[in-house]
Amino acid sequence: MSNKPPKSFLKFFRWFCHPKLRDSIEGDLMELYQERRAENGKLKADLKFVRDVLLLFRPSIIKPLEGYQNLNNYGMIKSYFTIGWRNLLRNKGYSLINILGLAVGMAACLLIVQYVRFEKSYDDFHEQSDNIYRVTMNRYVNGNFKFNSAKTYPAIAPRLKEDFPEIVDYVRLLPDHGILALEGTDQRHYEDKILLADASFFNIFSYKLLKGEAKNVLQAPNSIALSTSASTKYFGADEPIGKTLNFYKDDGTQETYKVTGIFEDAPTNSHFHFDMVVSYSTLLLRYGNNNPEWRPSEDSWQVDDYYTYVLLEKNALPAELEKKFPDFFSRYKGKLFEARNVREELYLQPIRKIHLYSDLQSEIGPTGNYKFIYYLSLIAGFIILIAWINYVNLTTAKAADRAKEVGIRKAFGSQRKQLITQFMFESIITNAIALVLSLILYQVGLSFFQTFSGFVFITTFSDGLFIALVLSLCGIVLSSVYPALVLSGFKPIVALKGVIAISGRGIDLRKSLVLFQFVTAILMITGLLTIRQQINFMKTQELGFDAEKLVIVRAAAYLKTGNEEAYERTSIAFKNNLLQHRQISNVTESGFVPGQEIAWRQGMVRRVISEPSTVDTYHVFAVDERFFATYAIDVVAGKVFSDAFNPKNAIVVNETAAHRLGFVKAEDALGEEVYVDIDGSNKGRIVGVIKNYHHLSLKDNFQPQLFFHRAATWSYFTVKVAGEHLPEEINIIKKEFTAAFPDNPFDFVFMDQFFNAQYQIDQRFEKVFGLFSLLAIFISCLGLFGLSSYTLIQRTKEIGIRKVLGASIGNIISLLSKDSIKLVLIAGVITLPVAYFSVGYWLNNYAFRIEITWWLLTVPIVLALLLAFATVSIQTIKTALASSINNLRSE
Amino acid sequence: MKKYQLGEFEEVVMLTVGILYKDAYGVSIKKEIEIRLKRGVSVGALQTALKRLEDKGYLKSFEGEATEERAGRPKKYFQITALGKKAMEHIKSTRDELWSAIPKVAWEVKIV
Repeated sequence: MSNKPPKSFLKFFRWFCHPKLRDSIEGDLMELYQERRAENGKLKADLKFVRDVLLLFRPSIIKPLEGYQNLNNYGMIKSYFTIGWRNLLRNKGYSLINILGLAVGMAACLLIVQYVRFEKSYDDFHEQSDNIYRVTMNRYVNGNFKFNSAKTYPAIAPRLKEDFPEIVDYVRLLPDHGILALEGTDQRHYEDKILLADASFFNIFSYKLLKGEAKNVLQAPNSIALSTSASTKYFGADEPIGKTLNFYKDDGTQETYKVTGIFEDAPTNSHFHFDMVVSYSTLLLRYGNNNPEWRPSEDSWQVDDYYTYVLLEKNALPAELEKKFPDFFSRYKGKLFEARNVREELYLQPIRKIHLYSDLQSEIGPTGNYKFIYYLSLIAGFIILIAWINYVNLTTAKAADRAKEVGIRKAFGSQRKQLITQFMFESIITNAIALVLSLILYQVGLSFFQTFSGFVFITTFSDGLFIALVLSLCGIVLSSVYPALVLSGFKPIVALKGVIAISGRGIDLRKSLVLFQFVTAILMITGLLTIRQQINFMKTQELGFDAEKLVIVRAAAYLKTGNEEAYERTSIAFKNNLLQHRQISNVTESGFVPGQEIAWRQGMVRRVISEPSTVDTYHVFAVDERFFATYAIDVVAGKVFSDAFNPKNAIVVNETAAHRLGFVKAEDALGEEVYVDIDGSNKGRIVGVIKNYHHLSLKDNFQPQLFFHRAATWSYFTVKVAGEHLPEEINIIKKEFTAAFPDNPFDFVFMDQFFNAQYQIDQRFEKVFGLFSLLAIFISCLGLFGLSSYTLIQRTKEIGIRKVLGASIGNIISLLSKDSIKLVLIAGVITLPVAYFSVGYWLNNYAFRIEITWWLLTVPIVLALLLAFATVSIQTIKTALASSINNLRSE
Repeated sequence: MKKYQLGEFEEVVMLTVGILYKDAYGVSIKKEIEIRLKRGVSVGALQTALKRLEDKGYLKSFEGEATEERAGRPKKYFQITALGKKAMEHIKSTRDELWSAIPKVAWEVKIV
């Protein structure tokens, strides 16, 4: 029909227009339209109609959002909100307890979840992270497991690629350290985050190259790629590409690198960290061709120093590949295995699992601990659960108060569904406020938590918001369904009579929820105490050597005349010069120092007279003649190296080594010959046995150790100082060091600090565990406080009557606290076995651990009792002291 | 002034409703204003003003007949209420007061 205005606009008008105005305005529009059409034609009339409709689209004409016809629904929702809000305000105390508990719980949970997520995000930034695997190795001697290792032989990777089509590419990494110097400037730093890597490094891993091309940055020997921060350190704002850097290593190596690439600093969540990468081909030049089996060549099956990563095809199955490894290994190394009665197995480790799940020897960097993550997640779950329980408890406890309201609502015809909605809305309001508060707490607490715990992790606010939303949604559902069902289930007549006794079931449920809270709280206190005790134990235990007043100085890496004899001469002179000082009582040089993993493991050690099949792996290191004296290590049998005693090919062993070599008594070992490769000779004679000392932290057991003598080891000096005036003593060492080894940076640490740094992760755990345990206990107490104060109000009259009848204040307090105390006691009884086993499980992580004593398990219960009593009695005492007239009058 | 609030356009609408007396509904008011004041009036602006005036209680409305050209929609007629009249009188008197307060000399100054 041509005499009608555009239909869509008419529809639009009808849709937005206020129903009261709709008809008359539409009439006007139609009238005008007909007139205009007659006068100006259809097109103009249409256009004007459209214009009129659009101009009518304004607030006073548009129907209000609540609508008119749907009056009831919208109105009810509005009413739900109003009623919910009023209830919140009327019971300020309970609302505060509810909101505070929820907010603190959610914020704590959020922090932990964010941290856990970060820990789980390790290495997921590699685009091919699903297909990158690390090749790891287990070694068996005579069929017995000897050790596992994150490192393998350099020959493995290229052979794997040749033999298995599903292996697309590989990269080998060898960490390196030494002095890097920009010639002609004073930019001369000790660098310990250097990696030597195959040319495929930037192709397999997704570290971002900013300058240079991934495929040829690491091709040529002596190429180096720097991180942006390393580049800034040496070159400032200058263009680094093409510049050269000199490298000096403590084995006399001197190389000149050309900068070929710049990469963005590696993300924190990478399982290894590095500031610079040097081309693998550099290594081939460094070690030359003199010993093809030992040099880091494609043929070496002997030096297991290399971290090997392989890139698998997209749908390759690592488990299938692993099955083919035994054949592969025996093909290349079978003869060696047979000759030595050794077996080695290769495994593939997904790169994303390394950080949390890998716990091998010689990891490339410190790894995380998935147990720790599990415990933390558990704590997070407990905390949020406790907060929700508070909500459920307080709401159902107050049910009686609302019984009349429910009765009247039902009498007016409220359906149960509507009542449920009503109570759900109240919980939504509470949760929403708690959500906002928890986000604020989280934002404020994040940086505090990071500095406090030492866990640095990167998160975004939107992540936090998302998790918080999910949490509060779960909270709304979990915490509001039960109270809503209980409250809406009251029978109207009974409810109106006002004789609603909260059902026995409800009280039981509340009690068991409180019970659960206290079980958790007691468990957490037990855990906290255990961790504290264990760390204390580890730090105060006799180490078997004297860690006090020892200064460790890194040996020089750079020598103007770079050979070993020159170093030895300088080193001996340096040590003798130090000893001239009154403040310095002893100085020694050793290949390794306590607190540091001994990287030198010899696998073919056995007694000369015993069967070849008895070979085993021992930790070996070289020490000079003053090592045992400086560290004050006890001698069990024979003699140890000293100024007067350092015969050729002599070795000193510790008790564990003597035992493993088959000597029952330490004395038996003296004079015995042992096959061990030291300084060109393959035999050593045991001259002394030392008492076991803790070379590593008390988390690790004693390892068999062999020591041999070398006048200069080119690794670490340990200086025993008087400790009267440390800065001055350090200054003396520094002066002598710089005089002896000019142009070398002077780095030192204190032995005790260095050794205790091994407990850093445990101490962090203690802090985090402590913090969150306290929070959990706080929230539990909050809930108990709310609950007990509510019960008190209900029993005010009873108390008044009891007092009138002659009850003493003590009687009343004990009457009112009895229930809570009983609950805590039951919680304690339940906790005992759980705590016993979980604490034992935790302590099994440590080689040297405290025993579980009775007080470790009972003190937390007593603490919880005291806490519960204190919480309850704040109010109990108030009520008990109040005049009974007031109590009786209360309505 | 706060007592009777009336915007310029609202005043025009009120006056026009008065002029049209018993025949004041959307289209007629619109046409009357357009003819007398020679200015375009959109349906939206007019309806907004009418609704506001009605909300203030200056106008009252009743439904009238439906014609064919209006596609069967009723006309909505407007009438000035007593309150509306008071408001209009108030405005007129304040204007007159202001007019009479202008000194004669003011008119002799030529404003260029």
